[in-house]
Amino acid sequence: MITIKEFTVGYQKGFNVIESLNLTINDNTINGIAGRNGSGKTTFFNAVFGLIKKEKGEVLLNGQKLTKKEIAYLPAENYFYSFITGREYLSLFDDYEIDKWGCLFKLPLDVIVDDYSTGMKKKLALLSVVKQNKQIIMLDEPFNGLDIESCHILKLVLLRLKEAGKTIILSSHIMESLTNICDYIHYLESGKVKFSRNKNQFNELEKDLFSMIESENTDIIKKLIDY
Amino acid sequence: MIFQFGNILRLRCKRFLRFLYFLGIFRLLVVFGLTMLLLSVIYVLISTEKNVYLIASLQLLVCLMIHIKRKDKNFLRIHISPFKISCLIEYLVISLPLIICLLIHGRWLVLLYMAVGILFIPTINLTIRIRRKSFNTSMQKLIPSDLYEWKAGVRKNLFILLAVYGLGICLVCFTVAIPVAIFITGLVVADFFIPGESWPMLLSFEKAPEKMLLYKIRRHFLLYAICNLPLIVLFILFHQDLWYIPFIEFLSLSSIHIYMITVKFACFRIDGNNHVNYALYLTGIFIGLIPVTTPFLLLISVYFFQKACTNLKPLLYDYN
Repeated sequence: MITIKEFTVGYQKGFNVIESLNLTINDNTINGIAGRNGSGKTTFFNAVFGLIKKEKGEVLLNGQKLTKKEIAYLPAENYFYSFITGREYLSLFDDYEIDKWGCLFKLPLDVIVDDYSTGMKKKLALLSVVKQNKQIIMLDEPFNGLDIESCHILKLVLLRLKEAGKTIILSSHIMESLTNICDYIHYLESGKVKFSRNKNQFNELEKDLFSMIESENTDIIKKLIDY
Repeated sequence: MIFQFGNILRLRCKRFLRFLYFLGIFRLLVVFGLTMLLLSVIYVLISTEKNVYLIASLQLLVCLMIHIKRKDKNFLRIHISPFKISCLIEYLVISLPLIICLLIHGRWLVLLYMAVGILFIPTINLTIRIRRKSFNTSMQKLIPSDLYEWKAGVRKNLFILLAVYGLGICLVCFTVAIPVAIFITGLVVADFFIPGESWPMLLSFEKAPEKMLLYKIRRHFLLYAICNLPLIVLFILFHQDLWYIPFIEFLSLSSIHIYMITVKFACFRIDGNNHVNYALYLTGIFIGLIPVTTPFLLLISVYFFQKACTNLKPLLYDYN
């Protein structure tokens, strides 16, 4: 079980992106992190992984401090090394069954990464994360840039990883991607978990969210268009 | 059109002012001083007939390169009409210092040459796209996967490396052949350490900063020594009395490589594409190539090693 206690992260003094966030994530579950643009999703991922220094709070895995050794993390933006092939990149993490993984996502593994399209780069980064075989998998916007087929394959891979005992945390702007595979969805607002819902409450969640958005914005849109 | 162009011009001015602001007062003074120096050199040079056409051609070449390489062509084509006139105005602004110098010197013919050139450049519709080939030779398979700098570097410089290495071996009876081959290949190998990696690649080592850096240096040194061994052995066989030359060269170049590795990680940033600082890179090469100052380069490398460890600590502290 991952326990996040009083987690506070900020880039500037006096301005915290994540403010005293508390969250519990159960083992063998897929957890979606949702929220508006700028609600702190990427900061949350970066800070939990340890790329950004936290102001205070702690992240525990079964009562012990969570370290990078237990996490495989896919950041929202991926950078690669020039003039190496997809195969060479993947072999840095694990040599096992590279070809089969490449086939699954239809990746030309012997082409240099510089010549990959954005979607291909995303798939390569995803594969590197999956191949790390870590207990916790964190994916920041994994569906961005993927085609329909790859999105579906990724969903199947994530469900299989869950069955294999992994704990998955992912974020997405597309609510449908989250409701399709997640066991829990945690909604972030102003750096805090506004609410968490389990699988049985997803219909309710979607209704609540959309009605909240509608009530906040319908009048504004009407005024703007009518003007 | 004037309205659109006015907006773009305003944006360009804002970007320029922002750039000046981020430079800071000290660097701004240095840049200003260098610009003034460059302008005075140009002013003096165009006073002679011989240089004036060369400088004007260079200026046109700069404008041409900007035009070919600029990434905002599509943006401007969509938002600015006519696109060519806006380009023309920009290239005129860029060439303004030279045009003023030419006016002062009364070089009317060169001015006409410049005007024709600047008028012609926006009409060129050419974008250079270099199609990179994936050279997957068996050589890449021989290189261990953790030495990705070598994999990428060999792929990028395969032909030059093979040509220099082959020529060195073929011309071994000439004293200079192998030292030159070691020198050139050494510099090419130093170039392997210019592109930086992303943080997931560093995490793949699962080692603490000190251990990771030492591991990288050790692995590189070993592979570099294996590659140079045939050249060194051949040189000693043919020129026994000068046996020390390839050794000194090998050590000097290895020092440069160690320096490059440490500098790269001392400047490493988590949030983006990393490239080694070119000023530091060139300084290291100059210091490393003078045998007397090579030990000094190793001392600087020790400093950068410490700096790299501190720099990588936030990323790799979990592996301590």
